[in-house]
Amino acid sequence: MPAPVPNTPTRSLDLGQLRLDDAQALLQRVNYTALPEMSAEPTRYLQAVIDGLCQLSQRDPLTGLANRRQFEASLIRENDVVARSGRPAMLLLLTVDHFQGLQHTRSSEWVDEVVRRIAGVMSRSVRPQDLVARCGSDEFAVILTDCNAADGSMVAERLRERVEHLALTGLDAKDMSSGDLSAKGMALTASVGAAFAPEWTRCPASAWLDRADTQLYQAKARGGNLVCLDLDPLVAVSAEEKNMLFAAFGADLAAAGAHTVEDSL
Amino acid sequence: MTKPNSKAVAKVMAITSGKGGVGKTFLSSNLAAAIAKRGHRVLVMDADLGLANLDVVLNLYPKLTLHDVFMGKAQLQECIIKTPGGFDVLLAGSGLVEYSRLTSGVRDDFLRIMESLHPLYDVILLDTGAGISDVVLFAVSLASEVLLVATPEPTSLTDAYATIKVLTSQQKRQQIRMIINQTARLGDGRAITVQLQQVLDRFVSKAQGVNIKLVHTGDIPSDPSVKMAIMRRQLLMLNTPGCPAALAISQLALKLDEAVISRSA
Repeated sequence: MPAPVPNTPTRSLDLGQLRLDDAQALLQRVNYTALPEMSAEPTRYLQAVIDGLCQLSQRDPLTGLANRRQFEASLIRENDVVARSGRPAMLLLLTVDHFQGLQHTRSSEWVDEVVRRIAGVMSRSVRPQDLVARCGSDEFAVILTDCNAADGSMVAERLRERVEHLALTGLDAKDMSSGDLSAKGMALTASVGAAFAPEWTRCPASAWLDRADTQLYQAKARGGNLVCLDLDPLVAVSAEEKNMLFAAFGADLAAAGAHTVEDSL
Repeated sequence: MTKPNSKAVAKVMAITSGKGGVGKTFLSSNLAAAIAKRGHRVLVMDADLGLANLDVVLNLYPKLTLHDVFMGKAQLQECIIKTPGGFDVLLAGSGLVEYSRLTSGVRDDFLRIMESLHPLYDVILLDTGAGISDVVLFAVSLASEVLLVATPEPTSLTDAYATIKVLTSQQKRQQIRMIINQTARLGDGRAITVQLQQVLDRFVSKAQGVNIKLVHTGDIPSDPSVKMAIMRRQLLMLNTPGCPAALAISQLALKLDEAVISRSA
């Protein structure tokens, strides 16, 4: 009779054999609070270090938002949810208008602070289940999960408006040059490109991103401070059409079949 | 309706739906078994580029898929799986999702494969994705007949209607065959088709100047045997061939045989 196979590994983990200094220093620097004491059970400690590093690898250090890596993974997942679960979603891409001009005329500290404030206002403008990510210097993306077209459009417009009215108080103190933006004819505004994914849509996540990107490009081309939406008009069914379509549900379906229809062959 | 390849032997029929979860793959596989039983060589092809559930429904574990053919790792014949239902299956493989951007190269690969399959079969059923993505539209464009599956629910009908609109406007389809799944009473499927036809006549035919003809081709009644077969991952046609749903599918196979398969063979 063969000896039973043990369920747990016989060798215990020796943290002293691992070089965790860099990881520990990194997690301390970002005030990662979920790290237990070194004296904790070694496997639990190591798992916490790994979790902390994973979390860091998905965050944008400047704003604390999701970074491009997490955004791309989330977009693929959400695209699959739309295709499989019958829940629609909206993708928004937002960039600051004339950002390069700001970078040339303002200090990097000032620009960083503006980016942080935009990130903050965006996070506060969506629901907790939505994902807000910073994908590039002034490039933000929002995935509005389980969201219909009307609500998604409203959020897109809200984001644009809130950036336009973003309080810039206290920023000039951080700036090496003086004077406010409007005095220099450079109001802070943003453009938003949005693409709606109706329920059951099956297309690659990259195509969804391309649609939003095309809308963003259009918003920029039309002067910025604008929301452009791709609602996929191909699937649009008007209320009038729906009313007529569902008329049979109120009456007896089988009775409606008395009308002529091409049958079988 | 013109066929994509005038030298083709096989009749290509696309099974599609506006909404997911209406029983497309269930119908594809069981209809294939019913047509095969009538003495025809049948192939069911995953035209959902790896997202189809054919492998789940048929309890298949393919080692090689269309993806391997596209990658040059396998011959087409190696990927064709024989099923207990007397028909063959060609799965796309999950890697093909990467292809679903449908570049011209992928289209060419697909067309080449379809061409080499044509002489081998009498019927090729394309199990497409739901909705109206590029992949679905492409798959449908390869077929001489479109079988649109819907269930008697408002959401399913709206999506079916939207799909018909797109197939009419994008592909100039003039005839679409309707199959209503999970009907509660005799006559419901015909009533739904009538209703859809009336809405199309009013809102689409006049606007586009074309006559779209919906052909009510079959109803599959609600039947507890269907759920049982799906749970067992078996074909209904083999599991409970005498149940009402299986009889309806046999009837559907007969109609399609007379109207399409044997008509110009």
